[in-house]
Amino acid sequence: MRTFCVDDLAKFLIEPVLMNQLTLKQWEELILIFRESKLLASVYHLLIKNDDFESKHNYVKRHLRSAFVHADRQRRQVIYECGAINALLCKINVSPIYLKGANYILRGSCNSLGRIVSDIDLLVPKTELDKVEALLKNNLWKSEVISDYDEKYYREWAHEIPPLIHILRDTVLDVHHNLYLPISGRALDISLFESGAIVVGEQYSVLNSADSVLHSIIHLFMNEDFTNSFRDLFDLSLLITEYGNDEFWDRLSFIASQSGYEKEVYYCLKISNQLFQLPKPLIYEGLEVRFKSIFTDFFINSIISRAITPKHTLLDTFTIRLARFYIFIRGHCLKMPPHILISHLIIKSFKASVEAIIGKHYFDKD
Amino acid sequence: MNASYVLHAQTKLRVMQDGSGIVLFGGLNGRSVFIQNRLFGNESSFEKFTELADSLEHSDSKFQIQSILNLSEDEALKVETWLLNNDFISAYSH
Amino acid sequence: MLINTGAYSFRVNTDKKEITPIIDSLYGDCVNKSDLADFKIKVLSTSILRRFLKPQVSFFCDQHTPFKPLPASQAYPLLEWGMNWCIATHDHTRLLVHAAVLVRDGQAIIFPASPGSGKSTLTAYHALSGWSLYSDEMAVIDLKTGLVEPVYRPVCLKNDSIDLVKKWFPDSIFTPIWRDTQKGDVAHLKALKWSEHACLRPAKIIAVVFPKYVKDKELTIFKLNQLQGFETLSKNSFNYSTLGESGFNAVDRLIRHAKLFEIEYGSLEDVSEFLAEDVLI
Repeated sequence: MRTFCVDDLAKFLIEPVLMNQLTLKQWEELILIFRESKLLASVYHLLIKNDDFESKHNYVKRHLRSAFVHADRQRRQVIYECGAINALLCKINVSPIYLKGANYILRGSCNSLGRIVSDIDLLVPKTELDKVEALLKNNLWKSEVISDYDEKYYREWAHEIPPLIHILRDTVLDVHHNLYLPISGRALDISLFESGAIVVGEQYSVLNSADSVLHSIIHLFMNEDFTNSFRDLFDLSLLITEYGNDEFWDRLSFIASQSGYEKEVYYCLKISNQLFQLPKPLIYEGLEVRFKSIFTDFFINSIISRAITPKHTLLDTFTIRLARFYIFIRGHCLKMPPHILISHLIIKSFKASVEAIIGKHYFDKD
Repeated sequence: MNASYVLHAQTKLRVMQDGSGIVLFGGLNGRSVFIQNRLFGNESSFEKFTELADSLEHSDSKFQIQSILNLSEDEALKVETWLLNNDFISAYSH
Repeated sequence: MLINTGAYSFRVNTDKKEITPIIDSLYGDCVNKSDLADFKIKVLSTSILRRFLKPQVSFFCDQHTPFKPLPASQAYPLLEWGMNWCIATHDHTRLLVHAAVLVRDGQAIIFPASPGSGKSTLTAYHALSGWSLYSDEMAVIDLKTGLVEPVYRPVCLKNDSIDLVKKWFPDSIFTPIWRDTQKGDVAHLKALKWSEHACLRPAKIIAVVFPKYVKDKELTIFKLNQLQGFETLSKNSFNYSTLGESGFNAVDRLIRHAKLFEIEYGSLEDVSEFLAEDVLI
């Protein structure tokens, strides 16, 4: 009998006062779940904002506070790194656009509070990619050790180069030239996003708020890996709440239509409304007319609503795992044409089988 | 070189009471730096050290480590340049 | 089952039945009724094939395994190392220094760990000779008060130290010896009872002593300067950089108020005398 389900978690996040009713045993489980979902520090901030932190038991405070300290250290590190990267790339006249976690931290959005950011993602023009990679590698950034196959995946099919790691600081850098894989056939006209970029903190280029939301929507609904999906959807509902004015919705409609991702916007608004009670905006009606069907209802109500559950043994059920598997297959199909997908899955599943039998580090390069 | 610097607003500095040197914490990059007093152990340098050390801890005063830590000109330049490039100190503006 | 170490508690699950009585022998005398765990940990057999040829075990902290698997015979030391990892990675409300802590008369001395220091033998010797063991592995220091807290954990001894301590203290309580680990032969010593631990209070750190064992060496004492002390302590701390400014302040406060020594020793009796006469106030 599971103590919590994904709806409970969402309720706690939108109404933190509900957590006042929890027993310490329940907190023990919730701390594990929120930590695994990368939301523990966010919960700290929600309680602080509500003036509800100090009244909690020491046991709860210690774990929440530790999560906050860790996330805050990361936040400062991200800001520092982005400054250093800007200074470096400025030498070749490249002004990178920061994406995802780095974007939120640099612009100081509500969802950046307590957000765990493990990598720094940035976007540079494809024409500058080689120069950028060379300059970074000449300045203490090195390629992560990956298999030859994965290297080929990144360079030929994906919208990014293999991750770079800073030799001294261990920071991971993902350099993108598009917001989605070219091989999928659904890559975006990146010039639209570049021209809409804004400057925050006096020196950092980031996507504007509507484009940031669209990028996050694409990243969520086109992905084969839903590990961080609950956190990502919570991000989206916070971003939409913070930035959702008329100008925002106009821009989002425009850019989603130009990029061919309106259906995904519909998915996002529908599930956010169901899970996080995010009010449906004016554009929802038009999207619903176009995209509501038995299939999309099934997809949202039976697949997404389950797969979005954070991956944790305290939450998992058979149907949730099945939904996640569906997403896994779907995500791969979306990313690659069939002939490439088949060989990709064969290679990946071969590796996984060997590792299951012989051990997880069998393929580690020494 | 007589370039003047101040501590960056987010830098914290601690002077070691035994005169062995100073420690800086960079609020921007989260790093700590340990700089030795080259004449540690020397009686008269200790007196001078304690005299000047107090002023070092105030972020609005000029950051001058050459005489306090008894560094050569070359060493002082190297240290100051490194601290500047790593955002521990910034140029002093009047 | 629940392991209560005072400052931290662990909910443990394992399919290696042989380690359950070991856990019980070291931690089973805890009378604290709390059923709350800080960490949920597991020691489990790994892959299917591995179960039959060269069996291995993995340590899990909740959903993840931070280490490579070890031979199944090392399941218990893996659990102890895993517990250290959980604390060092997750607790950022205290300064955690890789050091042993011994206390007498409410005065704490911390002994930072380094290879060749003989720290654990030194710790075991003193813990069984009237000093209170606050920790063999990790000094848990409150960020506000600077006091060090007691942690109810065994002393991990290696190789020759195991026989030495057994010889000096024939009544001492040991786990079996685990052979051929990455640290050599390893065994855990239960240095105090829960009832003794329960009486311990957070203590003021009056000295930091960096020990170095040199066979047959007459005790040689070096005073460390504060800059050296600061630098070495910050490098010996698991979470100094995560803590940022509060870690910096905590180490600063520590070295301002504690005597700092480096000692080379060949005899633990010399060390004992030094600590009692020259260090304790």
